[in-house]
Amino acid sequence: MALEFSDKSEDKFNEIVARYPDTHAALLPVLLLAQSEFGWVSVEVMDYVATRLNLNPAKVLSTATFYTMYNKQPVGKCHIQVCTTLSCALNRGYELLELFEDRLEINVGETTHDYGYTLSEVECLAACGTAPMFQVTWSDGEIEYFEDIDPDKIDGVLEKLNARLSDLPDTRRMH
Amino acid sequence: MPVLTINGTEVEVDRGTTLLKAAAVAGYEVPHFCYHPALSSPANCRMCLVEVEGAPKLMPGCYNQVNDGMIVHTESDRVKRARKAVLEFILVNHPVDCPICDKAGECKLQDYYFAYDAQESRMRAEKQHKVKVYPIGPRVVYDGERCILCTRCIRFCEEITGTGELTLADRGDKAEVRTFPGQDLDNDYSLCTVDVCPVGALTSRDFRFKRRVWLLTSTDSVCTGCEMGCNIHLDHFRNTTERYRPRYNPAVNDYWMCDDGRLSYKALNEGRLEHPMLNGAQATWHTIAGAAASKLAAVIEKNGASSVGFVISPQATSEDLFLAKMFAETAIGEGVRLFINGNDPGSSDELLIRADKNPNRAGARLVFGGLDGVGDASALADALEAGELEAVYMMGTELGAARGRVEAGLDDVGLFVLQAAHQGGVLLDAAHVALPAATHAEKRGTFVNCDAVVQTVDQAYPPNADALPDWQIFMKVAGAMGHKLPFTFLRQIQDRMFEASEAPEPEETATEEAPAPAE
Repeated sequence: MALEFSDKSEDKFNEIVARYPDTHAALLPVLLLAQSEFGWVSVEVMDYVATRLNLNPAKVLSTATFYTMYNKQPVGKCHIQVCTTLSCALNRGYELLELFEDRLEINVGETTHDYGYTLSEVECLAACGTAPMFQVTWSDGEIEYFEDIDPDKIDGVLEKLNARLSDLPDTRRMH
Repeated sequence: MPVLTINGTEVEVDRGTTLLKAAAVAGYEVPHFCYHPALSSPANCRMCLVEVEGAPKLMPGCYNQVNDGMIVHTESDRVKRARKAVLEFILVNHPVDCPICDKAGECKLQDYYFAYDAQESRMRAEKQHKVKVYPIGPRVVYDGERCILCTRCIRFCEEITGTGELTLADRGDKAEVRTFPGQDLDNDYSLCTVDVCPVGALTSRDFRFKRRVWLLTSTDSVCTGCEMGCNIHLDHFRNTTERYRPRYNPAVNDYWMCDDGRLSYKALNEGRLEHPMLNGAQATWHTIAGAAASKLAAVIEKNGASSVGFVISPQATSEDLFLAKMFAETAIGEGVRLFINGNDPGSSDELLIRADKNPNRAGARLVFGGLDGVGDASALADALEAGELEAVYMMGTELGAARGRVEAGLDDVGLFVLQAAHQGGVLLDAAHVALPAATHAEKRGTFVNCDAVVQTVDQAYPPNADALPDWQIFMKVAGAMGHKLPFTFLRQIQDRMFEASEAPEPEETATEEAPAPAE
C-alpha cells in the first residue's frame, strides 16, 4: 500500500519544508510528522519521507535510527515516557516507573499485548519544577504532560489514561 | 605562502594545506583512519591528532589548516599518548580476530596498534556483538564487529560514485554501516570500498580467504579491461595472479578502478594455451616455428600475400604490435590483408569505465600510423565468407559478436595460425598452428590509454608453460621464414615502436612532484 499524507498532514508538511533552507534540514520534523500520521517509523515510512523530501533513503535510515524518539516498531496507543533525570529521580520518579511496570505487567521498553501501552524511561523533559512527571504520546500524535504525580495515586492516573484508549487508533494498523 | 615548523623542520606549503599534508611534506606520517586523500575529512577517528603550540587541545591534522608561524609536533609524548588512547577506545569492541581476517597484514589498525598501542586490553566487560559476514552487496561482505566506523566507504559512495548506498545506522556502540533495506551495495566501483576500508570490515567476496596478503608479491601493472588502463597493483602468488588493486595515478584513475576491471584478473589464469600445437598435437617451439614458416610461405608463394589475413589484437602491447607490423610487412609482404579483432564495445560512464573494452587500440593506432583500412572482426568474417583468404594469422582470441561467423569461416581456410594466450574454445580446434603467448602479467610492455597516456606494465612472473611474449614469437616465425628481425632487447623495440606516428611523450606512471599522500 502506497503511503500518503492526509490533507491535514500535507499542509503541515508544506509548512515545515518552507521553514528550512533545504529539505535535508526538514528531515527531523517531517519524520515526527510521519510518525504521528503513520503510527511508527517503518522502512516504508522512511522510504516515503525520502521520496517526499527528495533525499537518499539511506540518509533517512541513518537519521531515523540515530534518534530514539522515532519508534522503529509499533508502540502502544498510549506511550508512557517516565522521566528519571535528577529532579524526578529525587522525587520518586523511579518508584513511579516501577509502579507502571507493576500495573501494566510489562518491563520498561515493552508494550502490552493489546498494544494499549508502551512504557519508556526517558531523560529530562524540562518539567523539573513539577517532578515527578511523565509524558504521554498518544497514537493520534498528541503529546501530553502529566506533572506533579503522586505515585500513591497511580491507579487513578491509569484510569484516566484508560478512558482515552478506546478512541485511539492502533499503531499497528495505521499504515 | 605560510611557513611552519613541524617537529623542528621548517616547511613552506600552500595556504589551505592541512597539517597532515604539511607533515607529509616535512617527512612525517601522521597516522589516520577516517582521512583519505581523495575524500572529505570528517575528523571522526581522532587518530591524526597533533600538537600545535599555543593551542590548548590537540588538533585533528586531517582537518586543521596551516597558519604562518605554526609550531607543530606530531611525535611528541602528548600526541603519542593520545594515539594510544584512541587505539584503546577503538579496540574496546574490535574482535581482534586478525588470525582469520583477510585484512591482516595490510590493516591500519593492526599496524598502528603495534606502532602506538602495543598493550594488552584493559577492558574486562564483554564486547558488543554486531552483524558478522553480512553480504552487503554482490561483491562485498561486511563485518560489523571489525568496523571502526570511519565512514570512508560511506563517503566513497557519496562523493566518488555519487550512488550513496551506504550509511551509518543506529548509534553509539550499536552503530553499523548499512544500506537501506532492500538495497545492495551494487555500484560499478563497489570493491573500492574494500580498498578504502582501513580494517577488515569490508572484504572482497572474490578474494576472501584465498591468500594471506603477505604471501602475495605485488607488481606494477595496468588493467586491460578497457581503454582507460587503470593503474594497478597486480598481486600474485607464485605464478598465479590473485587480485588487482588500484594504484594511485592522478593522470588516469586516481585511487580507483571498476569492479569489472578488478575481476578481469581471472582471465590471466584460466583457459590458457600452454604449448605450441601443430594440427592438434603438442609440439616444441623449434618444430612449430619451422612448420608455421613453411606453411605460411607455401600459401604466400601460391596465392600471394593478399590471400593472407593478418589479425592484430588491441589487447596486445605496443611492442608486440610493432613486431606484428614488422612481421606483416617483411615476412608476409606487400598486400597482406590487415584486420584487428578485440572485445565489443560495452557500457561506459563518466568516471573510469570506457566503452572500448580493449586496453591498447590507441597504441595500435600509433604503431600502425592509424587504423584506416584495417578491418574489424566482422570484416574478417565477411572476407572469410567471401572466400578471399587462404590463410589467417591471428593474435588473440577476442572476436566479440563476430565470433560465430569467424569460427565458421575458419573451417574453410587452408591455414589458420593462432597466436594467443588463451585457447579460445573452437579457435584452438580450428588452428593448424597454435602459438602460446604470454599475458600482460608475464612480460613487460607498453599500453597507450584513451587519453594518450603511455603506461608500462612490468613482468610479474615468467610466462606460463611454454608461452612466450608475442614479440618473441614473431621473431621466431619470421626468422624461420628467413626474415631475421633486428631486435634483441625490448628497449630496441620501444625506441622504434611509435615511429609510424608522432611519438607521444612517455608519461611516468608514478607521480612526479609531491609524494602520493598516504591512503
